[in-house]
Amino acid sequence: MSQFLWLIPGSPMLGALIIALLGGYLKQRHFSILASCAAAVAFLTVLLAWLMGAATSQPLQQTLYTWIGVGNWMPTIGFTLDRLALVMVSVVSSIGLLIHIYSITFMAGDSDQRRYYFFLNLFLAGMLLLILADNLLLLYLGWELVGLCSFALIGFWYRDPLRASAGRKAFITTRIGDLSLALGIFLLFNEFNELSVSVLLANATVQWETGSQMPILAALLILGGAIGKSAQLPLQIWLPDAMAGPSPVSALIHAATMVTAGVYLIARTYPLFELAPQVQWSVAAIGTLTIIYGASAALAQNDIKRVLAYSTISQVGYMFLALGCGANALALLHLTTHAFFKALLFLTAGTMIRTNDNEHNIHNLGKRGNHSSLIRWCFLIGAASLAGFPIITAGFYSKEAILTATWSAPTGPLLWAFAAFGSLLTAVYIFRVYFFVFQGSRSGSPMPPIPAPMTWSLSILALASLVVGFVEFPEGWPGLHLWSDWLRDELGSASHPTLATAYSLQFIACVLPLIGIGVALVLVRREKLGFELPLAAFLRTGWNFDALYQIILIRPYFTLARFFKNVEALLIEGTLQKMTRSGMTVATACRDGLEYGVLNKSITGLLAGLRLGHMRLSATQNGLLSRYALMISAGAVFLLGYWLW
Amino acid sequence: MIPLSHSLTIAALLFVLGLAIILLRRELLFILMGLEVMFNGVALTAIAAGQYWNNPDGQVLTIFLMVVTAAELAVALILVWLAFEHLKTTQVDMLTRLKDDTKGGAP
Repeated sequence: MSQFLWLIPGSPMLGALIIALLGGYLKQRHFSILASCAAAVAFLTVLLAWLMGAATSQPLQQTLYTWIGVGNWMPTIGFTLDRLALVMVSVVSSIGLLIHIYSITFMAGDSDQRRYYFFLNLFLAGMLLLILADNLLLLYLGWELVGLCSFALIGFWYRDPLRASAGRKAFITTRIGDLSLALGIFLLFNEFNELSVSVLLANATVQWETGSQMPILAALLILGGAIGKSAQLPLQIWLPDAMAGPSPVSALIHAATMVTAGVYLIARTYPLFELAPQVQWSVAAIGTLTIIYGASAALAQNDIKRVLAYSTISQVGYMFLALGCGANALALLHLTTHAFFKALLFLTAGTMIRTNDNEHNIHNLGKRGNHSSLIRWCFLIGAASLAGFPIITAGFYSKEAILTATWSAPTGPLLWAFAAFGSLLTAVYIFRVYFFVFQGSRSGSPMPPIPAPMTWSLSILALASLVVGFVEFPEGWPGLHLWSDWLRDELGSASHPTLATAYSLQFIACVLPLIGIGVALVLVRREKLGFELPLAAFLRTGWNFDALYQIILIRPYFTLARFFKNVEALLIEGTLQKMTRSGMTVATACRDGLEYGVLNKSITGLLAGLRLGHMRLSATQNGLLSRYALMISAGAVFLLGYWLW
Repeated sequence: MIPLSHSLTIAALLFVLGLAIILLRRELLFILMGLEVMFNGVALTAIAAGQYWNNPDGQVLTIFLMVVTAAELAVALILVWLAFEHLKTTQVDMLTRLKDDTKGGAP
């Protein structure tokens, strides 16, 4: 089995390459088929791995070749498939395949399918590479690949300047996180001269003391990368705007897979976080704040995709909370269930938007009515799973488990209270959307039937949103407890509260979604009568974060730039003028006394020299390529000279 | 047997010559040529060092360098052509459209 591991990221990569290089020979409709086949091969390979017993055996490994050999440092193109990676590749490849299939009809009318499927396949390859990489360098390659594809697909309809700028915003914001991750990798390499994940973590646990400075720094830098990619506070601002991309892209990249890369990264390096308990706690704190932030902002949105975007931010917050409490396996469980129900919600939303002439507003969607019953049921299932409707949905099992595990963490009851409030808000905002869009919808003119590929993907996702949770029943219940037992060796396990406490927490977790649905019903009725939520404008803009960053980051930057420009003008030109004037005074004063010609000449010479210097200095920023080249080579020569000397 | 210092001197001369072309010429095509000359200087160093240490790596590196340079040149030539198509110039001094002014304020 090991020798087939390369097929998992390799086949989408191959698909992307064929589409990019040989696309000229293919017809528009062949791109979708080719891309789906590539995704299918990846999925089948994962399936084969399951059948061959990858779930119970030792981690599978394959080393393709040595990437770079410098002295005794040899990063390889190598893959490791352990249980954590197995869960991730299963989720990513199955949802990736379903969304490729869904895209066949969704993007059928688009004229630029070659670019779309190239980036979609490349994204899948990057994501699978990130998961399977056995060293941090390869992981970083995948990390950057998915970032690039995300940027390109958000701005897929780039002729609309708003969408293009949303793509740039996502790219720049996540870049801050990527920089932090890169610094973290540099730090680890500097300390251990090694990038292989398993060796690195083993060395770290041996050499570093718990709570000392190095692991805290390393964990903080890695956390920074995770925050950027997973859209957590304070780098969450790119995700709501990322909804400018096509809906399948939102479902795949900005809900199910890429935004959970941060969760995967932390789960992968969790021994580092255990060495730094303060950072681990701050993971939980960031998660909790983000839960409340996302859920409250989703409450006031009117654009259906923005509701789902804020909901994603908030749900990834739950995963961070679980990671911060040491319940890595449960974070992974929520990641899995969330991937299915959120992809389902996005795809139903996309279908609705498509059949209603690009209408995003939930009020208008509700007024139009006549949504097909498949869409209605799929959305209901997704919403119930998101809200954590007790017993029958997958979302309940994962979210309830996280809430219970939170209780026994440090400052657990406080975190629990926030998270539980968040889960109440979750039920409110998603059922607010459901009631607005579907309640009292009249059956008007018959809708065009939904094409078969869409129906299949939706049905499979809906089924998964219901049943995936059954692998892990709550603590103290009869039924399966496969998940946490299976992952215990690899990811450790969280401490559980006593059974009596657990039962009461479970009871609360059961009741909260039901209360939330009731509140949503009241809220919708009030809103239809024209009452607005308190603070609605504040919540709708996502707590005004964009404006805040505009004030505290962007405006000072421009002010600074203008300031330097003024300083340059004032300082250099002012000095020049003053020198001219004083030079003149001196010259007049000395005209009779000293040798006229010498002084005058030297002063003119000085002035000319200063003028020339000013011109040369201001010319460094003139946008001329050759000047920049000169600067670069002069700098290189200077550094080389300094270093050799 | 040519001593190492001779080939290194030639290589350094080639490199500086290429650099001078890049710095002094304003025509994109000449800048590309300058790049090629610099590459040749580097390749010559690799060959000379390989010969000096009796190690084939230098020659391997040079062959790689030639392949990569050819590929890069193909892309670069297309870019020059596109620049000429769209901007009607290949003078590098004219290509200043990314130059920013800070008067505009926040975007």
